[in-house]
Amino acid sequence: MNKLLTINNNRTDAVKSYLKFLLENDKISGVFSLRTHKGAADYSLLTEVSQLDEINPFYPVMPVNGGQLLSRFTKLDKPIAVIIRPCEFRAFIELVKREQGSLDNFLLITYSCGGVFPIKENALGNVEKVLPKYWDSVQKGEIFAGVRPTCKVCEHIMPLDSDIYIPVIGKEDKQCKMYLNSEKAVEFSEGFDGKLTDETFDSKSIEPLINRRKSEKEKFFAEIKSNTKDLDDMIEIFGKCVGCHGCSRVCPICYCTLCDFESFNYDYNVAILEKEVAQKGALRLPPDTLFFHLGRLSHMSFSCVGCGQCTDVCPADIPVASIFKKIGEETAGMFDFVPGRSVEEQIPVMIYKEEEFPELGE
Amino acid sequence: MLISNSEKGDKVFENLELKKEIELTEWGKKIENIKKKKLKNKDETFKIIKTMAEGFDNLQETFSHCIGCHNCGTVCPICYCRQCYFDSSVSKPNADFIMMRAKERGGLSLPLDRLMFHIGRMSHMSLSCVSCGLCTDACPVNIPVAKIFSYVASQTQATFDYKSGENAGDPLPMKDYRLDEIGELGKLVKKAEISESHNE
Repeated sequence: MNKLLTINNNRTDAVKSYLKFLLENDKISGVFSLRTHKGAADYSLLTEVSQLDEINPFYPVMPVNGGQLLSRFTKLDKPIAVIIRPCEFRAFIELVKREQGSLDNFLLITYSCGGVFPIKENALGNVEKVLPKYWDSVQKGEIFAGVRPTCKVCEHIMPLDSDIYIPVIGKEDKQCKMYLNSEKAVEFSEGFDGKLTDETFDSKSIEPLINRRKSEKEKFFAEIKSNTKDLDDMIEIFGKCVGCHGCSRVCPICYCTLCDFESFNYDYNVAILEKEVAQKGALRLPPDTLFFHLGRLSHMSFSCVGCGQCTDVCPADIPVASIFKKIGEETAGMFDFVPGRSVEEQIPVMIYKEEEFPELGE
Repeated sequence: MLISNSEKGDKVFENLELKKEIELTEWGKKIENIKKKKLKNKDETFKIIKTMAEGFDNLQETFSHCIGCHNCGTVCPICYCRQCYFDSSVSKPNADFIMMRAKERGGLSLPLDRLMFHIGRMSHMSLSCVSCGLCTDACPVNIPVAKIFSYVASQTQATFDYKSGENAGDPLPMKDYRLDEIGELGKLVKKAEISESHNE
C-alpha cells in the first residue's frame, strides 16, 4: 500500500507548488529540475523560491543525463528535491552502487516518461512545434514517432525505488497524483495542502504503452542483431567513428576520471605503430576505433540504462545507444539483472559465485 | 598538377623526372577568383556571427543549447592538453561549493561553466585556430562553433599581426615577449580607473 497525494492542478503547476512548499518550509536546500528558457533546456539547481517558476520538469528533452549530474554532489547537510526521468534515476542508482553518489542527498521524484526528443531537434527549434501532438500521444499511451530510438523501446517506466512517483502516461493533465513510496517522502509531505489517501499503484493506464514498446523492441533488437552478427559487421558500423569519445563522456555510467583508452596505455610510440603497420600493411589513425567501443561495452553494458545520450552526441551518426542497449540487455539478462531496478541489487561483476557459467569452462 | 614548394619536393621531382618549372599564371588566376568569392562569403558570414559572438548576452544565447560534452575541444587539433582545465578536478567542485554558487544567485545551471569553457578555449587556442570546422561537425546541438571561433580568431590574430599555420618559424604571440605591445589597452584601463574614481 502506497500513500497517494492528489493535487488538483496540472502536473507542472502541481509539482511547482509542492516543491515551493518544501523549499519555503526549509525541508530541502534546493530543487534540481529541468528548466527551459527561450527554447533551450538545461538542468538547474534552484535555491530561491521565486526562481521555481522557470522549471519545466516534464519537458521532453534530456540535455544531460540527470543521474550523471547528481553523482557530482558530495555529502549535503540537507537534501535537494530532484525531479528526473526513470532512466536518469536508474543511472543514478547504478552510480550509487559504484559509490559515485549518495541517496541521502536527495528526495527523488520520477514519473512515467513518454520519451525524449534528440537534443539536436530541440536546438533546431523543432520540439516546441510538436509538443501538443507529443502530449496527446502520451495521454493515449502511444509511441511518439519523433522520440529517441531507445525511448521507443523502453519498458522501465514503472514506479521504481524513487521516493515519489508521478504517473503521466495514459493520464489527462488535469490532476497530479503523487505516489509517496518512502518514509522520507511521507515525512517531507507533512503539512502540504493536498488529499492524502492509501492507495496501491494501478498500472492499468501504463500497461498498453509498455506492451507496445515491448513488441517494438523485438523488431528493433532483431534488426540490430542482423546488423551486428560478427566482427566484420561491427567494423563496418564503427568504422565511421572519429574517435572523439563523446559517447563515453555523456554516458552516465562511464564515470572514470581517466578512461583507459585516453590514458598513456594507448598513447602508442612510433615503434609500436611501425610494428602494427608492418604486420597489417596499413594502419588506421587514430587506432583502436572498434576496440574502444568493445572495451566500453564490456565495462558498462551491464549498467546501460538505454538513455540514448551517446547516440545524440555522436558526430558520425552511429546508433551507439541502440547497439549498447541491445548488448547491455543481453549481458545483464544472463545474470537476471536489470540496471537501476533496485539499489540492493548488486552489479553482476561485483558478485563472486563459485560456480558460474560452467559451460564456458568446457 | 603538382607544385614543388621545398627542397625536399625538388628532390622528389628530380627522382620522378618531373618538370619543376611549370606555367602557373592561369591556375593562379583561378585560385584568385575562388579566393575572392570565399572572402566575400567570409565577410558576409562574419557580419552575422558578429551579432552572435559580441556582448555577453549574445554569447550566452548563442551557447544556450551547449550541453557541455566538450566534443569541440576533443576534436580540435589545437586543443592538445592532456588534461583540460575544464575536465580537471578543479572544475568538479564539492557540493558545498555548488550550493554556495547556487545561493549567490538563487539558481545555477548545470553542468557548471558551460559558457566559461568556450571563452576559456577561445582565449587559449584562438591565436592558432585554423578554421578547419571539426568543432562544428562534432557539436551535437548545431552551434556554429567553428564560425564563431574563426571570427574571434581573425581578430585575435590580427591584433598580433599573426597568421596561424603560415610559417613554422613565426613565434606564437603568447610566447613572444615584447616590451611595448598593445599600449592602447593600458590607456583604456587607466581611463576606466579614472572614471571609476570620479563616480566614487
